[in-house]
Amino acid sequence: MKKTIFTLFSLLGTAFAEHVTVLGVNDMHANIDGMPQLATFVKQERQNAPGLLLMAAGDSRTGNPYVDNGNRPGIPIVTLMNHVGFDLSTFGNHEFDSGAAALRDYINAAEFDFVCANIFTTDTQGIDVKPYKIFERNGVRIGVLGLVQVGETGIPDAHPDQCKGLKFASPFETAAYYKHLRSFCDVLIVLTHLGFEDDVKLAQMFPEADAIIGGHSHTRVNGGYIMNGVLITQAENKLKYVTRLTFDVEDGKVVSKKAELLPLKDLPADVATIELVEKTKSLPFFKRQLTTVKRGITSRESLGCMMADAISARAVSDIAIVNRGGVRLEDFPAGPLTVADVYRLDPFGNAIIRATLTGKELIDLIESIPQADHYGAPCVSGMTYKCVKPSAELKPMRVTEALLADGTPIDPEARYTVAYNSYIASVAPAKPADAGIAIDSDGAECLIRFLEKKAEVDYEGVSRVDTTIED
Amino acid sequence: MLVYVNNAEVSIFTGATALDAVRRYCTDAGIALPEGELYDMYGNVLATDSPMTEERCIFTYYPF
Repeated sequence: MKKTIFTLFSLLGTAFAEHVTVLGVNDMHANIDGMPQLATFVKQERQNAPGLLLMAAGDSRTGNPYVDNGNRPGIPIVTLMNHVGFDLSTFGNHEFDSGAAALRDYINAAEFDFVCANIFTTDTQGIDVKPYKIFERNGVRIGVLGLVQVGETGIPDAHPDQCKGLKFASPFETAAYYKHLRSFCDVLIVLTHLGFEDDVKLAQMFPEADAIIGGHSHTRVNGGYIMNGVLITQAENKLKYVTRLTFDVEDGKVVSKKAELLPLKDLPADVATIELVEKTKSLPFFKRQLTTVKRGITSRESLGCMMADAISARAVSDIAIVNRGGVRLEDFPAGPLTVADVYRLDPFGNAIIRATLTGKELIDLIESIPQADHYGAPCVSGMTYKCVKPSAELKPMRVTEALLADGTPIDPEARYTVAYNSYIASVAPAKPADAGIAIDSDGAECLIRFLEKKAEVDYEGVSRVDTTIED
Repeated sequence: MLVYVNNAEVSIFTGATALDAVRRYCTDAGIALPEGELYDMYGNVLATDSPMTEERCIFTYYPF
């Protein structure tokens, strides 16, 4: 008899439980090609759970020139997010990549809200971001607090110029002010862009939260990770996965919760969303002429010199280095040079690093690059050099003379700012004392910014390296 | 900045990705870039473009 009554109460209890479904994605990085599969998934889920909430944990933009380099940076991804039916997003560090005015445009274009508790703006910027939002679904109150990562410089990992006028506080100190949200919500979620390791740290000090939907570290959290009773999730990046969180709520309390990591790539693509993606790709961005090449460029080295000049200009460095393997065209004809041509010339998306090197470290670095990049002596800007390359492949190249652009010898003891790509920084055996810092542009972006300011370029015959092959 | 790959200290530029750190680790160790996935200290798989932060620990094999 006792058992029968217990079962009856159990069944009644289950009947009164409300189910809340939340879908989380993060770090989409402008992967518009993944949106049709996400749209299919969300449509299917909404048939089963009409009240579900779809959330993005930041860095929705940055990573695709169709999205980032048009007249309105980031807007194409927001348009697609509107179409798919996002309910909420927080900021990632890359939401700040185009400055405050572009951020305002981005927020205003969204048909969903942004939440972020640790950003502070001025009235004149017109950026109005709430720290949290409370949704109500079938009588259940779901509170979502937003937090973005802040680096050692006091801003998110974006170019300081783009964060001008914006102020940020520590996400951890900020979270402590919002513990009271627990009393206003049946389900409390923190939508973060801190990275998984910092989400674990946040969970240790914020057990009031039921779940953290995280981003930033591109971590594939399979099934959720529980720390201090808080369910932490993250769905890697670029719409490879979506996390489905489900909460059972009884009498204003979460009685059970779970997270499932679900792959998107094998789902059928939603036709209406494909059309919108194709429309985005038909924007004239890639066809834009940046400059005119006066005389056809007939060598990889001359193209490399142009790339090095572009990197030096963007990084504001004394010297720039480009490994020849990073120059993906052998020649370029006279005539128009478009954005598409830039991406053929430098398709890698490698970050550009600026470091301060002694003259000796600079020469060591140049000598060591061909050991990892087998295309020969690297191309340079701001200097010229002579080198000897033994014909035996394994013997290293030696620099025998190195001059600055004005003809002054490079002083082994003097210090120079030097820019080069992240591939060189990672694979060249030489290790300068200053490991350097990534600037906010990759090689292609440096070229676009450099070339679009010039009506004409003439690099044919430009050579800054004199190589002697030694028997 | 200093990060850790397979518990070895690696000096890498600020703004590096997990793949940058692993490449630097392999260059320093004189070994080939390993195949397979990368992991954080909790055993989660990482995307190769996962941003590195000071003192972050990653692994080229499942360490647990």
